[in-house]
Parts: sequence; C-alpha cells; structure tokens
Amino acid sequence: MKFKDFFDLKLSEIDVPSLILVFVLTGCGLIAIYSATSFVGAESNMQYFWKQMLGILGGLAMFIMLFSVRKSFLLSYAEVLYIVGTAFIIIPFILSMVTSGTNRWINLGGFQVQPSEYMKFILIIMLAKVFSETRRSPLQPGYVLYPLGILAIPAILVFLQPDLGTTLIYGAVFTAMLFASGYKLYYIFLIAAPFITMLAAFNSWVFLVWGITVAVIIFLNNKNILFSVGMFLMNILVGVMTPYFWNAIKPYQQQRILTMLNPQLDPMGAGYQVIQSQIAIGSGGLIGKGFLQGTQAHLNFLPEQHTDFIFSVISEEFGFIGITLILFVYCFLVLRWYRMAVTAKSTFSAMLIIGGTTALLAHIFINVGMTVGLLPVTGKPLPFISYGGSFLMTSFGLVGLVLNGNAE
Amino acid sequence: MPHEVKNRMDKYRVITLFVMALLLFLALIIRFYSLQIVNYSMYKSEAVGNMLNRIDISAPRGIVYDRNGEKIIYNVPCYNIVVYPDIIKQHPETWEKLSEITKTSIEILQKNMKRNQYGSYRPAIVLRNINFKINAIINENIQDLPGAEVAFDPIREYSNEILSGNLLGYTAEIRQRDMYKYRNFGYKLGDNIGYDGIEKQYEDLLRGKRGYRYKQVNATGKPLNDQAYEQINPIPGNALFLTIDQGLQAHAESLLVNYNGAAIMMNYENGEIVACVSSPSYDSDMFTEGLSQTEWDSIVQDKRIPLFNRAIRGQYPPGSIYKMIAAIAALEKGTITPETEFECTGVYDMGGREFKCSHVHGMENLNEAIAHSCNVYFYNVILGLGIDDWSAYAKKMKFGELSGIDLPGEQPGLCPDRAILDEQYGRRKWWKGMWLNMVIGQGDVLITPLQALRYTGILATHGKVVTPHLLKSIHYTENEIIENPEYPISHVDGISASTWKEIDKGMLNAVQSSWGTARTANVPGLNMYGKTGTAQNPHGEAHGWFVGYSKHKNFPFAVAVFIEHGIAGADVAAPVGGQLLKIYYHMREQ
Repeated sequence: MKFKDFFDLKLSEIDVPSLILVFVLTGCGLIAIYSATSFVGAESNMQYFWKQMLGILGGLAMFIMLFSVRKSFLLSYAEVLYIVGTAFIIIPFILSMVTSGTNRWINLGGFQVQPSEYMKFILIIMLAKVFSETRRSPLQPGYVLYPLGILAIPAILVFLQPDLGTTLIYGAVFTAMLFASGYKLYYIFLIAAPFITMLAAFNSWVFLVWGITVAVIIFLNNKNILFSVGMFLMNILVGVMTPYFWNAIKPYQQQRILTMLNPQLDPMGAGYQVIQSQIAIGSGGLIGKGFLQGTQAHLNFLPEQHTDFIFSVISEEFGFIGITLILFVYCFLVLRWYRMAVTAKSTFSAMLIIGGTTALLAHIFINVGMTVGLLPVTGKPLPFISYGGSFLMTSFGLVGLVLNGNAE
Repeated sequence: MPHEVKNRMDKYRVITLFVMALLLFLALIIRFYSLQIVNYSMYKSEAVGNMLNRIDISAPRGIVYDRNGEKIIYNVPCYNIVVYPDIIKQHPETWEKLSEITKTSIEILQKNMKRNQYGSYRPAIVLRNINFKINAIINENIQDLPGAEVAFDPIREYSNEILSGNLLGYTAEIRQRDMYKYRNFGYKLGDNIGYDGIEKQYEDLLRGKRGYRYKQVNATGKPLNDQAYEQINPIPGNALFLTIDQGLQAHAESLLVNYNGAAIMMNYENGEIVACVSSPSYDSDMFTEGLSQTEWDSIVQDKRIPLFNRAIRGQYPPGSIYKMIAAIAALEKGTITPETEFECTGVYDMGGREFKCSHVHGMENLNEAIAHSCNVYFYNVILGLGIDDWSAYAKKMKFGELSGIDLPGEQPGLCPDRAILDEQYGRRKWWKGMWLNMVIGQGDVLITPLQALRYTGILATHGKVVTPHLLKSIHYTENEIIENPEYPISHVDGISASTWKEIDKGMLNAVQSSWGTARTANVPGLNMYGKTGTAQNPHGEAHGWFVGYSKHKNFPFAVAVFIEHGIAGADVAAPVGGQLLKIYYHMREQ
C-alpha cells in the first residue's frame, strides 16, 4: 500500500470560510491568552502566547491529517482504531491502580497524551460507520444496541476516570448521530427516559409528573402491554435507585453539581470559581473594560483564566458586544457545518460531519455554560480559544473531520 | 475496500439539530445579556470590592481631663512585635531568633500569630507592649529577622496620681462572646472598648470614628502597589473635661486607704462631683497592659472587691443620718413642734421588745435629739407620725431612686413603704416595731453613698435637687469646646422655711457644738453642718457614716463618707468628711 491509499490532500475542496473563521477564533484566543497571563505587578510573560502559537501549528497538522485521510481507509480500519483507542484508555487506568496516580494521561517521552481526547475522533468514525451501514433498519428498536455498546465501553471508562465533561461530550455526539440516523424518536425517548428519570428523582413532585408523562407516552406508542409495563417499571426502578447512585459518586462531583445550582452555597470553595467568573463577566458590561484592563483577570481573581475560564476574560475586557460577536462566529460555523450534512456525498460523510460538529458544539456549550454558571464546572476548555496544545489539536482535528466529510 | 453508500440522511432531522444548536446559542446570549446588561452595576461594584482592600486607620481615643485641665486618661505609644505570615513562613529561623530575644516560647508566639491573623499579607501581632530594650534589639537586628517588625499602636494610660479604676474604668479588646452586641455599632473584632466607669459611660464620645485607606490587591490579598486611593481620615474621639479635681481625688484616696468604703464630694448648687472614691480600687493600667490570668484572678477573688464601686453600687443601711427625714415629716405634719420633748431612758420598750439608744439622754427636744442622735426621741416621733407620711418624705429626699449620675451600674437602694413591706413580709405580717428600726435608718432601709450625698445637698439648699454628674464639658481638643451639658435641677416643694431652720439647727449643733456627735468633723471657718450615722449590720462591726456640708459663702460643697465596719460614724467617717472639706477649701483658696 502506498501513502496515496491512505491520504488525499484535496486542498481545493477545503471550505475556506470555515477555516478563516476558525483562525479568527484562534486569533481572539491569542489576544485573550496574552491578556489572561499578564498580571499586575508581574513581568510581562509571552511564554503562553508562543506556546499557543506552537499549539496552533500542531492543530494545523492534526487538521491536515484528518482532512486528508481517505474515508475508505477510515471505513476499513474503524474497528482497529476503536480497539486500539479503547486499549489506550484502559492502560493508564491500570497503571494508576499500581501507582495510585491520576489516570487520564499517558506520558510518551515528555509528551502528555490524553487518550480520551483521541477517542473522540475514533468514536465519531466508528459510530459514523455503524450508523451508515444498511444492514439493520433504524425502524427496529434493536438497531441501537450495537452503537450503544460502541459508546458504552469508552464512555463508562472515561466516566470512571472520573471525567464527567468528556462523558457528556461522548453522549452528546452519540445522541445527535443516533437522531440523525433516522432512529425512531420513540426509541430514543425510551433510551433517554432513564437519564431524565435520574434527574427527576431528586424532587418527588417532578418525579410524579415525569412518571405520568413516561406512562402516557409508552402506552400511546406501544401495543405490547408486557413490554410497556416492563419499560415503565424500569424507569420507576431507576428513579428509586438514583439516591443510591448519588451517594456512590465522588463527593467533589456531588459538590460541583450542588454548587452549580447555587454557587453562594460555598463562596470560598467550589462556588468561588463560578462567582468570580460571573463577577468578571457581569462587570464587563456592554463594551467591556478594554484590553488588559480587566481587574478580575489581571489581579488573579479568576481561576484557570487562560484555560477553562478564558471566556470570562474576554467578557470582562470586551463586554457584551465582544462576546456576542464571538458567539455569532461559533454559531455561524456550527450551523454551516450541520448544513453540510445534507449535501454530503455519502451517509458516512454526513455522519462524520454530524459527529464532529456536535462534538465542537458540546465543547462550546459546556465551557461557556460553565463560565456563566449554567452548567457544572467540568473543567472543559473552549475550542480554538483556550490555552492548551492538546486541546487545540482535538479542536482542529474535529474541523478536519467535518471538512473531510464535506469534501468529495 | 468497502464502498461508501449514497447519502440518505433525513433532511428534517438535520434541520432539527440546526434549530437546537441555534437555541443553545440563544440561551447563552440571553444569559450574557442578563449578566452584562441587566445586572451590570451589581457585578461592577463586586469587581471593585474585589480589587480594593480597605485598611482601617484606628481613631485615637478621646483624652480625659480633670476640672483643672490635668490629663487623667491619655494615649501613649505601645510597641508590639508583628509578623507577616507570608514572609515568616519562608524564614522559620525568624521564630527562633524572636523567641530568643523576647524569652518567649515559639509555641506562644505562633499561637498569638494565629489568633491575631487576618490573611497572610497583613501583619499579625505576636507580642504586645514590649519594653524599650527588646524594641532596640529588634530594630538593630531587623535585617536578620525577615518577616518580623515592631509596630506602633497607641494604648490607654491612666494618671499615676490617682488609683480610681472603678471611677475611670478601663479599655480592653472586645471579648469574642460580646461581639454580637457591638457589631451593629461599627465595632470589629480586635477593637478596644471601654469597660466600666467613665470609659464605658462615654464610649460613644471617646471612641471617635475610624478612617480608611484603600489598597489595590490581588486575589490572595497581597498589596500590589502604593497607588494612592482616596483616604478617609479618622476622627479622633472627643476630649472630655470631668468635674473631678484630681488633687482632691488623690487626697480622698489616701484618707480612705486603710478602709473599705466610699467618699464623695459634690457642689450642692450644681451637682458637680469633685471627688468620688471607692476604696479599695484598682489600677486601670493593669488592663491595658494585658492582664495575666493570675492577676485577673487576684482582682476578682479579692475579698475587698476592688472592682465594685461602693460609692454608687453599694447599698447599705444609713443609720442615724436618716433621722432628719422623720423630723421634717413630723414638723410638716404637725405631729411635733420644735419644742416637743420626749424622755430618753436609754431604752424603749415596745410589745416586750427593747429598742436601745446609745446613751441615757433624758428629756430631749428636736434640736438636741439630732445633735445627740437620740434614738428614743425618734421612736416616739415615728409612732406619732405613721409610716406613710414618713416614707413619702423619704421619697421626697430622692431615696429609692437612681440619681442619674453618669456612671454605669448605679443602684437605687431601698426606700421601704407600706406596699414594699406588704410585698416583702405579706400583708399585715409586719409590725410597728419595724418602724422603730427604719426611722433610725436600720431594718429594711438601704441607700447608696451617692444618695446620702444628694440628700445632704437637698438639706443644705433647703430643697434644691441637683443631678450629680462627672462630665463638665465636651471638647474637640483641649481648647475647642463643643458642649457644656445641662443637668436637670428640680425642687422639693411643701417644706416650710421654719422646718428647714430646725433641721439646720440640729445639724449645726451636731458638728459645731461641743456636745454634738459629729464634732470631729468640724472645720472652723467653714460653717459646717453634718450628721453621723452608725448602722448595725449582720455582717460584723457597724458601718460608719458621715454626711455634711459647708455653708461658707463661696464654698457650696457637701460630702458623704461611708466606712464599711467603721464602728461609729464619729470615729472614722466624720473626721474624713471634715478633712476633705478642709483640704478642698484650701486647695481652692490657693
């Protein structure tokens, strides 16, 4: 086999507007990182700025790789990639049991590699292959079982790491792709219902209303009484078991969720980040305090301000106008990419596009939702803008995958 | 290689995803709108509050002068060793050196730091009030003591000429358990507050108002630069001029030094108290220098209760100084005349019980009975008068109520009347024999030395009721006067001039005649009037009383002296009273 069999650098088919806007975002990121790493009373430090530039180069390499890789290759080797990727998630897991250290990273000769990042591509590729196959009909309930299995193995491993944010992103990608595959909505409801039941179980009134809704939907859609009753009882059981599960998760995760609901509960502890972030954002006002003028950022009140909370820095210095412009760019890109799924040449390509776009959308929403206090502090960075080479490579790679799907 | 299949993606499903993405972005925009536009001002002020650290500048407490402008309470610099927790953490050897210099264990120093610490970048006091020598050693070796320095802080100092802790009070750090009471009035933990005496009474005038300066800080509270932000200067506490004469106060203390008791002198025309001594007392300076547990215990457990201001809090039976009340009431009600005589055989029998007199006085009229302090005469008076008229006149003399003196903790005494006795013993469960005790100031009657003095003032002025007070004027500084407070003055009505004349005559003879019981108080030339009292009590020897005043034209002063277990008023109390008036007369002459 030759190199040409694996890769095809079809430069003429790159969607140029997408790439330009991605570079606009990374440019905003560089400005924000420069600001976020300049502190009052400290020497000006360009170290982060240059490292981010290096990360962008790495990201470009990743983009080119995933843009030019042949879809036929991906289809052929999806299972192999999946098995290798899953193995790499398990390895640090086992290592950590021996060394009792953190279990998210693999150290490859000085480079820290986080296998769950690369699993995002692999999962999208694998699911795209499964959902584009015509062997099973999406009208059958059993259609979901195989892809659900594909999702479950890495999702559970990552959840146990514990990495709630990445688990949510895997779940979002899977749900969007399953939905796009034409799977019956009622079946998606049946899959999603237990998760909603878990949330509803925290309030007895909400749980009651939800239970009735579930019963009504199930009995309207299914003639098989035994199946319906079984499904309904399963949901009730999940609801009853939820308190036990709640007690089983890590206290710091419980704390994160509780503090998300009410940051004032713990203003100096878990809620501190969210409160300081909201102060930074709110005090930015309409036009912001101006570049390098954010007091929250430059006096170091914001935690993780060049990575997870970079958007708070931008909000503080460039205000509502600046933020709206950036969100507009993100929104434009996401919508433009989703539209590509309709015009893609094959279902596989369309699925790559749906998966990649949803992954980016989920990242954006999880990060921005966290900085404004709508979602728990999961510690997920913002695509293209947050500091960090590893995540830049993921983000660019996802764009590569999407644009690859869009190309001929 | 497997081939790709034609795109059979359902367009409407993609459109659904499209719309959902749009909704998510819309939700974010709305949220930003709410934070940045709707709640902008709230977050703006929170960001400013984050950035600026307010540093208190404490206000100098007001200085207290005596009536002649002598400083009684003032502020002196105190030197404390402070450490910067963030720096000393990196230089643990500083602890060892500090411990060596101060001869204090590292554990104590570190415990003090923890107790006084407010953040890592603010200095915390580890040792208070170091002496000059330690101060010099530390300043010489300051380069070898990274993280430590000597800081200056004013503390209260009290005049060394007098030892009147229970009059002046003291200041101390607010106790943690008391904070809830003071927080709403702008106090903070670590602030000093006046406890007891003048310091407590005039806390609001003396404390001043703290100032602030602002410093830009980062998230850990570390000051970043010396950029000047607006500074609000502290307003010093007001200077107070007291009515007390420090020299006289010192004399009064020395006269009482061997006794437990109280002596108060007042200008009976305006209520200014020129001396107010309760013996024993304590040194207020002990508290400001930081009291050790053993020192505190020794004060609290002292059987002579030095913390107790007997002059205003002590409630004692008045003895014979109370007799004039029955005399006034009986003369006014017409149950006796100045000429009415009763025979004293040294004892009075009532219902089989014997009520004694000090001597066998024979036939006595009112004038003689006051001067001799004859009990039997007054037994006869009260039986003719009845308790209701008697207690009504006792109340006219302001017994049983607070005088309103500007000191915390004044007690009202007990002025028994029919209702009080009914309550105490049950209706009709008490008998007339108690009247005989009460009329000579025994039994249930309790008064404070301050009430005795006010009563003496009423007798001296024929009915003028002044408010005894200690605050003469309030000043910004020594020379800028703000206010001369007015104190209420009232008048006892319904007592005829002839009655006052009879009382005067009795009190004059008690002091100035060769046969008067209070003759040891006489000061020739001061035109002295007075009365002694000897109060039996169940705790031991009798208490001695003397009340008296001078009718000298330019010297309108009254005195009340109370000596706990002083046997007879004439033995100790009367000479002290006479001495005080004499001394003060001469002090004013100079």
